[in-house]
Amino acid sequence: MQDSALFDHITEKIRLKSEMTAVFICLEDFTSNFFAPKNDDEMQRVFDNLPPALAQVMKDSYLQEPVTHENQSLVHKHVEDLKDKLRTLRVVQLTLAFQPNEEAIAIFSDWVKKNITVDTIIDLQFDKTIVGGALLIADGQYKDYSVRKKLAGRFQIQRDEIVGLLS
Amino acid sequence: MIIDPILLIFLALAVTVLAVVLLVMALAYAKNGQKLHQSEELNRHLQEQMSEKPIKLLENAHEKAQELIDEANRHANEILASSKAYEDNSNVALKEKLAQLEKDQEAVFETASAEMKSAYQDLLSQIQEQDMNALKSMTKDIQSDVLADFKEFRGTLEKETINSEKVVKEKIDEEYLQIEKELQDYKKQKYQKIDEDIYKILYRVSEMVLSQGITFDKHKQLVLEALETAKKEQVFK
Repeated sequence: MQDSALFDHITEKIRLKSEMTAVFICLEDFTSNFFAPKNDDEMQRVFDNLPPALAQVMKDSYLQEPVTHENQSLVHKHVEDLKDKLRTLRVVQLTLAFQPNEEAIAIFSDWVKKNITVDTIIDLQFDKTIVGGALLIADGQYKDYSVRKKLAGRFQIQRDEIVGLLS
Repeated sequence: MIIDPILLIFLALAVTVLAVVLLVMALAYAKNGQKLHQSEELNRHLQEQMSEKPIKLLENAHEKAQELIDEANRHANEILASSKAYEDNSNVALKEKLAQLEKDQEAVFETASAEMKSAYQDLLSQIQEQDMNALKSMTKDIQSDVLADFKEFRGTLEKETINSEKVVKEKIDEEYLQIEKELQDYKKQKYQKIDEDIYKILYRVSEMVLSQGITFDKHKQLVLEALETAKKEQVFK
């Protein structure tokens, strides 16, 4: 598979910023093997910290063929190119009022990759004070679509009515 | 040339006159010279006399003065001798006189002193009596003045007290109204604050209830709705 297609294939599988950071760590761990060789079992476990789908893609990309003195520099360059590609990924920060499970993450990531670009990943944050909905930061813009804001708006609009109820 | 005989006569006359004048002048000169010589002789003679006379006069004067001085000295010594004797006599007499005078004066002073003492005592008694009378009258005056002043003071005090009471009462009323107004304002502020706090509490409670009341699926739905809204608003360029 050609490099760009491989990179696209890898980036498709990355959903979150945390996963991207984990890929970086795994790649660092992988390239450190060039100078301090690990045994085969250890090598197989390099990418195990990643989500299964992503881990499999990484293994298929880098662990199919052993790294020798001859192809070491090539592999190293390939890894650096991948890292450069990962640094160009588009990030959308999403602050939620709940901790999403795998299914929810997959739903959100699919929506983002489908409706924005395939190389967009999500930087997930958690803040229960927003009650529900989300805070969104993308392309330098900040948007508040939280339930808190709607509630505050409703309280402001109906303030007199509420205060009337209190008295 | 023939000279006029008149002129000649005239000339002769003139010469004659001149000669006569010269002769007269010569005679006069000679006479004056002789007089001068005589004067000088006389002057010399007089000067000699004068130089001799003062010396003699001085010598005479000196002798006379010396005689006078001797006489005066003699006389002075006599006077001194007599005055010394007089002095001694005078001293003795003076001492006696002084002693006598002293005794007389002592007696006089004693008498005068006794008289003065009695007079002073009498005067003192008089003054004391006068002072007592004056003091009594002053006390009476003071007493009457004080009583009058006291009455006046009392009247003024009563009047002032009544006025002060009135002023204080007005002040108290004014203060009371002020405090009442402040209290009302304070109550109003407090009620407003309470309303605000209750409002905030209500809001917080609503948040908390909603936060726990929203289901997991509802959360997912809300997030997707947020993403859709952002897409519609073209947040993702």
